[in-house]
Amino acid sequence: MDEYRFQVNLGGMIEILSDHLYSSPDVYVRELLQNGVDAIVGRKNADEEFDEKNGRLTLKIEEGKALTFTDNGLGLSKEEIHQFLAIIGESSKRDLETGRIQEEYIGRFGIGLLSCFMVSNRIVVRTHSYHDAQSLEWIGNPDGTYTITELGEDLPVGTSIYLEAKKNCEDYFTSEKIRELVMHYGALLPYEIVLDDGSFKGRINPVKMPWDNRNPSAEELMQFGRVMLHGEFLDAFVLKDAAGNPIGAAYILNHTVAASTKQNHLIYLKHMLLTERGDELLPDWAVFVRCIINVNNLRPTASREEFYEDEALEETRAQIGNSIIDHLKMMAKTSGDQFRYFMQVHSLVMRSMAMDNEELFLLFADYLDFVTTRGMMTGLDLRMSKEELLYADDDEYKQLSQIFTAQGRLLINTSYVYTLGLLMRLSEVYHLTIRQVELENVDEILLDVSAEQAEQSVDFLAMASKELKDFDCNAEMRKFMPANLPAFFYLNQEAMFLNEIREAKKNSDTLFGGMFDNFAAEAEELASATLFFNWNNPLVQQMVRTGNTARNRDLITILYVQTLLIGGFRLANNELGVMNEKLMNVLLEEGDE
Amino acid sequence: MFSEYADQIKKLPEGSEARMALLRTVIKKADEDGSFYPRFYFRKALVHDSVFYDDYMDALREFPTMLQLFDEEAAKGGTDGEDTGELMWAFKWMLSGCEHYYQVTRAQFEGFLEEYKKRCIQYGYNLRTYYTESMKLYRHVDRMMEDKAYYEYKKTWRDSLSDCVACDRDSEVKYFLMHGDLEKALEVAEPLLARRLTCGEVPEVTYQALTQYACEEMAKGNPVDEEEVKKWCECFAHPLRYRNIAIEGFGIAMIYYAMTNPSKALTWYKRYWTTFESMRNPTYKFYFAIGAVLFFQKRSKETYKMQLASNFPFYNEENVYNVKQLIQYYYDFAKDYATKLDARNGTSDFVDELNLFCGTIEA
Repeated sequence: MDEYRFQVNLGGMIEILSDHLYSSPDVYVRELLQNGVDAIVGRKNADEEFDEKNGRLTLKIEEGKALTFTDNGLGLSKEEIHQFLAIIGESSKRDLETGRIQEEYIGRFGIGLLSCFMVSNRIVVRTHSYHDAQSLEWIGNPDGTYTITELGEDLPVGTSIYLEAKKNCEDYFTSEKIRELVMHYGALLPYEIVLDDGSFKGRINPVKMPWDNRNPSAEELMQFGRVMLHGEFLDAFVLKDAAGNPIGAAYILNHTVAASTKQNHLIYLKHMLLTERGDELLPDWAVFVRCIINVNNLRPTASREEFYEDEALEETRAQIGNSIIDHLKMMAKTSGDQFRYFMQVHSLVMRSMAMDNEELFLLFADYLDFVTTRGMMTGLDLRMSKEELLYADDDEYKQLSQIFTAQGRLLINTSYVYTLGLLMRLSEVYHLTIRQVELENVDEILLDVSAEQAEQSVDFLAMASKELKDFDCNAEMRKFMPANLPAFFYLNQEAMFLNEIREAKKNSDTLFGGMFDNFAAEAEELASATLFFNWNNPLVQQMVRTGNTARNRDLITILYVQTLLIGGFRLANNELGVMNEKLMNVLLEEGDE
Repeated sequence: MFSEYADQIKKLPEGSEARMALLRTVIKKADEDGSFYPRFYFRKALVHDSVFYDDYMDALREFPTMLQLFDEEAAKGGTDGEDTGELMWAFKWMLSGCEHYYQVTRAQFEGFLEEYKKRCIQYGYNLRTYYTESMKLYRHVDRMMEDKAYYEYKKTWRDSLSDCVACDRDSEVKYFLMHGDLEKALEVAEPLLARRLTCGEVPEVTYQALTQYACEEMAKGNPVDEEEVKKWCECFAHPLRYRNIAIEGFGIAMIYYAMTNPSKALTWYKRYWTTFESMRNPTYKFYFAIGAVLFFQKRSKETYKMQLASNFPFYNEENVYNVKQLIQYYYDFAKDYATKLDARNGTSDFVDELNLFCGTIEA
């Protein structure tokens, strides 16, 4: 048996990384920063005399041509060069004994330096290890070859990486671009980053974050947000972890967003920008904030552009959620006007939050809006009202709102997102009486006629029942306002469902007919459709007086279809055709007269 | 006009009552308009929401019209590959709903399956999804047919209609759970539970199936890893990333909490009793009803005080409820659904499950 080793086509590997792993060649700067930071951490751990505060990363730029990236970190020995620079996947951050990577390092996978081949045809590494006297030069080529030279000169401890722009990549080596990328990826890094482009040499990253070891004012945070997130916001506050340590800042948007929106955030892992998405780090309801967050304990994926879903991520998400909720509570308590404005702008999301969180419900309840027959009312309005709260969803609301409005009665439309759930919570918490409108309630609104009026209506109703039999509709006499409404049509939920099933069967392949018949059979047992004639209406009174005539029979059908149309019901059974036929009859009768 | 509606619909949370209500309204308008695309695509959106967030009823009602519209338009040469794909996805989803509704007889769902199979072949898809849907439909109906479907599924390669590796794994997990093989189910579930393989509803629905299995084992008096089962339930019985709870799990969670955590069970009951009242899905309601029976059976007194909204069926201002009445109410529902589901299936799985958890309760 002969043993062989898998071979790696480095050119092919670079293509895979650039086309499928890394989102853009920009990431080469991130990888350089990452390795530099890890080298400084390594030196801090190895060299007792090294003060981490003196850690420095220097980027010397030959405009459009080349970049020299230098760190004063640990450096690399010859063995380490062979092992870590030349073996793909071998991370220098891995402890040689345990094989584990210490949490303080950013890099993990041992592929970062290869990203430089996306912009350069050669990587020159000049390094002097803290552990070794010898300064070395490593030159790596994209064809997989490399050289190591022992240098005669004594370099300072640390590493310099020299890259020359390859053709069509010159834009990645301009001072403007590199400054932009350094600020993009490394603005939160705790070490000095010096840019030297010939005309400028100095530190370009902020000295510290607004929340480092102090409580910044809202204005300071807002200013930081303007610079980092390029926007104006309604409010800003510090985010804290479970231990109360600041981990970043949240910015409340000053415009309404859809619940499905995915916001862009700036998520840093150990002070290095990991991703501008990061929505998995926030609770799904937090669509109204953008955040700048630094985490140390989450695991990035190989592309280093998102996190693994694990318990640590879940815990962080929960902590951020709590932080946001705490701030909203404080806002409600101390800045009433601002909170009211916030509720108006982010009403949909707040309703969702109120559904899931008891504390937030109590906070938001008074500000919630409800559509009613008396216009928009708030939760406060409803809980101060002493009457029973009747509610109906869209179809029923449409049916009933005309009558409720005419009678000045309150009916709440529960078709809107979370409305019914919130109404029920109001009922539970504030002991309000709420009820869904049903036929029994309709009976209360549509008043009984007197005994005499009922007697006078008997023949009329018998005629009406006969006419309406084909439409599976009952006929009753009531009196109600408005008087100019001759009839009111009411379908209960099962009847509406039955209509939908029948309509669907009509428009469907015969394959499904049996299924629809089964659903219809069940619904028929509980379905109820009633046309309530209005004794207060002059037309109805005239019809009652004139009795069983052909014209009245036609008018009953016409009134039935008319009330369907007014109520927004879908017409079935050729109802429109029947109405036209009846109207024609009436016209012809009048013509005869 | 319809593009404005589409924008409005996109802004509403998927599966929300408002979005589904708007879709129903827009479908009515589209039907009046008569154009194929709005009628077809808004129905597809409603089918999707109904399947993934609601009780499948809208899917069962609207898909047949979708199919009819498609065939009419296809006969005129007005459809393309994308439309065909949308149709078949909706058909697949609609099939999944049939097992939950006893109103869909065995002969009817077998007819739907055959139609689905015919169209898979006609449109150039392989039969992998036909087999996975068959597995679901025959689960409580005919074990031999389920086994046959499973073996055929395993032999068939993936295509664009069966592109979800996570969903396939989840189907296999459920297959092994039905066969009482928890060890094999967990082995197959491993990448799902480790979240290396996920999709829109996996692994949450997998956790739900595992929790159900564990509850059944507990009801039989068999030992379970309690900490593990607690984690499983937590993984699906809470507002999920980017969407609300997959509503099909609300009943399983009720059973679990009723068996293990009375205060959580009460919170859950208060949150979902109204969902039970308003939804139509017999299987979902069956499980919630069992959970409610279990919860009230464990109350030590004849009456129980609960602060509920006044639209509760037995509401009274004192908030004091008769425990026996509540047990009977939910038991009667569960018994009714179990009887009807078993009658459709020709097995006794649901009545057995009811007896396992609740025993027999006379009126």
